[in-house]
Amino acid sequence: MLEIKNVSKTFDGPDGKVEALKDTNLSLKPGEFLAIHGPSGSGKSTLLLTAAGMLAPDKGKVFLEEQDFYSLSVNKRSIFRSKKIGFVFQQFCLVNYLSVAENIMSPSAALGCDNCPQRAKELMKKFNLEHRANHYPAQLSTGERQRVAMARAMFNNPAIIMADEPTGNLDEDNSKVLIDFLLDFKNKNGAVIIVTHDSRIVDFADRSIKLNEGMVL
Amino acid sequence: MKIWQFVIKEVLYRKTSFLLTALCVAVAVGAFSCAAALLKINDTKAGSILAEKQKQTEKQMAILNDDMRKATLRLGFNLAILPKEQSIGDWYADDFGSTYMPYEYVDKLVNSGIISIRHLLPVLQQKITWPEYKRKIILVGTHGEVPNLHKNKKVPLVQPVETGQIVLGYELSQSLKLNVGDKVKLMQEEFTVSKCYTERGNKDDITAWIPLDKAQQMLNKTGKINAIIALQCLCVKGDLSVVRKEVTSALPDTKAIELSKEKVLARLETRTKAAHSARLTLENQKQTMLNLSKQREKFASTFVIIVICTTGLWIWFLAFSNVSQRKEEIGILNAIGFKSSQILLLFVSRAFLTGVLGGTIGLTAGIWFGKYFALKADIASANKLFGEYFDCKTAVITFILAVVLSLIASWLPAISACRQDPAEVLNKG
Repeated sequence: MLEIKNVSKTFDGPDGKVEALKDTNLSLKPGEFLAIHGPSGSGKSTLLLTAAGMLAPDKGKVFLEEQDFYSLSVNKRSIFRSKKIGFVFQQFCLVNYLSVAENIMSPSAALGCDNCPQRAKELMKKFNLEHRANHYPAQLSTGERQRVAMARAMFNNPAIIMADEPTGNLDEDNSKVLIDFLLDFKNKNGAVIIVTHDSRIVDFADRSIKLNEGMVL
Repeated sequence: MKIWQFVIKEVLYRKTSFLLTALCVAVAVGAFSCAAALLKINDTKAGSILAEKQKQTEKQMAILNDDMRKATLRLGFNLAILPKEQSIGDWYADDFGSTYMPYEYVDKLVNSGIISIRHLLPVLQQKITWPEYKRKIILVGTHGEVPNLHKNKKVPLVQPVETGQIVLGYELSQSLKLNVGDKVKLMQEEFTVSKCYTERGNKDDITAWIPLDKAQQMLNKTGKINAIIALQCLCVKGDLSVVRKEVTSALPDTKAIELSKEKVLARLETRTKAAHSARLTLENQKQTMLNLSKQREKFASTFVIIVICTTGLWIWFLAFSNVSQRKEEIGILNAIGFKSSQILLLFVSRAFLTGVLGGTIGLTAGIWFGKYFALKADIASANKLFGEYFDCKTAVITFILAVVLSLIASWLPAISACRQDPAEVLNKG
């Protein structure tokens, strides 16, 4: 489903070039839960963004459902990403001026949707957010915000969910809820890649890899 | 969801920033429309003042002209009406005509209705040798002024010489030692000296005046005259040719030559000068107002350009800060599949709304101020929405300018937003 082949990525740092990824290889099958962990600055988020088609590698290829991600134009890549990948971030990255329902529906502005409000309702029900439908992110608890982010990630029925430290700002209970949702997604043949420091998540994962200085150990 | 919902929601969420930007547009538009209205008001007012001044000047010119006419009335010119075949050279050389015309011409002229001629003096004059004294004199036969019948009777300019009487010029009376009351013989005819003129220093000093009929008889020119002197003629706008035309149309066999030309010219010159002076004053006023109007336009355009540039910079700054505030949002929108063009559209639509709101506020303020100043300046159409001070076309142009200003000032920030690399924002690892 997802193939990352010999990917390298270098950034310009204050002390010269920084190799964030070095000849990294990775593959992911449908229904697989992959945890990526490692110390800060090891290249975890860079790997995730490269895998998501948002950060072109200097070298190597990324295939998603056998499509060479970076051979597509920027706009086509955006549409492809929107259809296939759902994102969850540590900071939730909700749009402040949209309500819960609108945040969940927001991917439809890019792709369009036949029955957006109905789909949003289903997701709000699934994530126990119905009573918060018209609330704004500032009016929600951190757990609720992350659930909104999760619901938004699932809006387009993606094949993969990519999550960057999704439990980083959550307490234990909310972390548990989130992990349950991710496991539920995986059990329905969805693939999950999660970047985390949280050892509990690593325990739930089917497979985990450790990154250090841009290399898979 | 649609893009426009994002735009509206964002505008409502960041009201202060949006209103501040709209206010900048409003200030620029207000300054532009107000300046345009003020310039129009000024032009309209200046035009009406000028028209009023022109009216006054014309009125004053008419009064002045009339005063001049009255003052120069006595500067009427004299004409000598001569037979057509009379050589002008001979006339000037001999001081009298060698050709003759019937006396009836005088009556014809009087009855022709000419109003520009006031006094007519038919004469028969000839240079002769006074046989009794063996000396050359000018003999003039005259019966004084013929009244112009169609007008009020004028005071005669020259007193007639009574039958049997003779009037002598200064030199004649002196050299011949003749005094009033003396009997004198001229060509065997006896006359009594009725008057001796004082020295005039011209040919009158050697002239003897006798009744016309006597002169006609003595010179063997019964019923003839050789000139009609028209004294103190009036002419419209100093145009002598008009009087000449009138005379020659009444008496086709004659021609009129002018005597005492300097007076006519003086009168004409005075009246022309008065007219010219009035015209010059009016032109100067027009020029001064035009210069003032140009100066005002220059000042207004400089002021408006400064305001537009300043507000443009401010809009640019606010748009950039809006983009900075929304970096994370741009990143996440990119992540969930927004194309660059859709992100650009978000910011451009916002700029468009800013332009529309700012344009509306600015235009309303501009029209309101225009109306206020138009009322103060007493412009007739001040009560209309778009009066003389502000037309519909200017309003539309101003409104379009508002939107364009907002779009131009927000364009670079919008471009920077759509080119923003989402990975830069989302990459935390």
